[in-house]
Amino acid sequence: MQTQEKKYRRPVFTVIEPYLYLLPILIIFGMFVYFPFIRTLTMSFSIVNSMGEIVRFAGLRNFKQLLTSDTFYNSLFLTLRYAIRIVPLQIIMGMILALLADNRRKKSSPIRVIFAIPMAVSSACASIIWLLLFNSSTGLVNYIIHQQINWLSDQRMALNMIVIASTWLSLGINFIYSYSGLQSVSNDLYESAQIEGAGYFRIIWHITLPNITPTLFFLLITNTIGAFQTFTQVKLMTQGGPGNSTNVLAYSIYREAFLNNRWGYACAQSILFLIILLIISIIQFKVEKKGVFYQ
Amino acid sequence: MRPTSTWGKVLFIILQLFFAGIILFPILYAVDISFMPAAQVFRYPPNLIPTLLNFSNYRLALDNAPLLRYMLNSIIVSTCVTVGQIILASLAAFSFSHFAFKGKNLVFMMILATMMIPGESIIISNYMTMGDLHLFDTYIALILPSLASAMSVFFMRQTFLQTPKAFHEVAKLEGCSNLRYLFTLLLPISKGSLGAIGIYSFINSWNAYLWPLLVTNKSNMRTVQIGIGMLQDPEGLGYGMIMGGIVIILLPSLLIFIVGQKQILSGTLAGAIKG
Repeated sequence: MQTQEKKYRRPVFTVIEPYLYLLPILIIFGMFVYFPFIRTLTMSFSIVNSMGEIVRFAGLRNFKQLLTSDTFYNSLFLTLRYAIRIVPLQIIMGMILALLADNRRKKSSPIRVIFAIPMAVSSACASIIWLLLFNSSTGLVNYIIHQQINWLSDQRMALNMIVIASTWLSLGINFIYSYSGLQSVSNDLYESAQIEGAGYFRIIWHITLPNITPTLFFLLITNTIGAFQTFTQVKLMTQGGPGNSTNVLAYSIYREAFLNNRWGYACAQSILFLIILLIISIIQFKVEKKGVFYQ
Repeated sequence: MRPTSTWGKVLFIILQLFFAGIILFPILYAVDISFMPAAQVFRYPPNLIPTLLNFSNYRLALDNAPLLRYMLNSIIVSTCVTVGQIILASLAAFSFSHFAFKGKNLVFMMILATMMIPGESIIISNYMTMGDLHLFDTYIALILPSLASAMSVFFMRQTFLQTPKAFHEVAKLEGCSNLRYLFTLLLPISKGSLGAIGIYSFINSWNAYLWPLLVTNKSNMRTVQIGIGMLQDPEGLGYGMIMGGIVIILLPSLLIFIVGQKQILSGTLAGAIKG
């Protein structure tokens, strides 16, 4: 009897076994990604009271309000401007650091550890340190550049201040990715180029860069998404000010939802935020098909 | 690849030092200020070297905010997130890499699809879920949503796929159960990837800001990042004290970074980009 039961039970277990291993992660994703996604979508089409309860279906009302609001367009273009300024800077800086640290003969070197360090610094700490560095009267930045720029209260400079702080913050991770990208370029290519008498910059331009386009593409995607998600720096350095000049999308969602309790409106903004990121990613993947060469 | 001419080499070293300076400068500046008495911080032109080693800012920071409690909270949360994320990701990756079953590709795509949904866009709903469950100001609220990471599943799967299938066959013949195989053989030989994923998720969790800001209100449940932001609020407390607090909370993550730098720099994670 017992053996028969065993024979019967085993195949059932074998069939469900792989699903059991997936269950825990799917429960978490279900609770904290799939369900909230649907809930956000529902709320974006609803009138939601200040307690966060859905009052009734509102159709496209929230979206109409959003798309006729100057504040939203300000946030959207601000975020785009921010991304256009910071993403190339992040990629170029990451590449420069990687090229400087690239040394095939050494297994480990202190310079690589130093270049990666910003990775270990939290955005909260970095924001506060940079805030002090940008202090208009005693900050070191003004002292070094011999200017009296009022970074915090100047509408044109506040965003740049966040660009600089965020670029520094992302140096570590961009360096790590660029550096491991560089390691995929084979030594033979370099050696034959050197025998041909090509100089350093020509080798970088004609051999290294074309060979690491997958890495460059990866950096483009991750940095763009990261730029759109910038929140901590804005919250701690400028709170969206002065005069909304740093009120980027992620911060504006936070402000509408958690400071103004306009939940439905903030959810509509969340959905548009997601769609915009999706469109940008799709465009970037289209470009990838043309310009990225996988070996 | 390095330049071959002597001038090139010299220029290379100068540039290396220059960029190392840019990177270290804000951190050293924070350390520097943390040793200065208030009067010296606001002097113009700025003083670069504190006239004497002065630890009073550290004591002030520790007196003004329960920094050690914040740190304990952060350590509990980050450790649970790291361990939980590795266990959940390993189980899922094991399923994807060692079994054939119906709907495998669909489930895998569903998990990867979560990467396309930025956390900020669903944070309002997650906040409300926590409110519905009465979980504000609990460790569960801080930990639970970060336990599942599609990135970790993806990288663990890549790692598991690289281990020879024969290992699993032999283990099965020897009568070793699948779970035991996963925990006693597969995970130990994937140490490198585990280390890299673990360090990334620990540092990410340690540095998290928006979510802990939303789900904690009580001072004794705050994480270090929120705590350090709060130090900033009351005016007149002085930058010296704030920088003292920053240096205190920077130490653990810098320490973990230096201990784990081999795993981070080995490019285990970055290597998977090309896949």
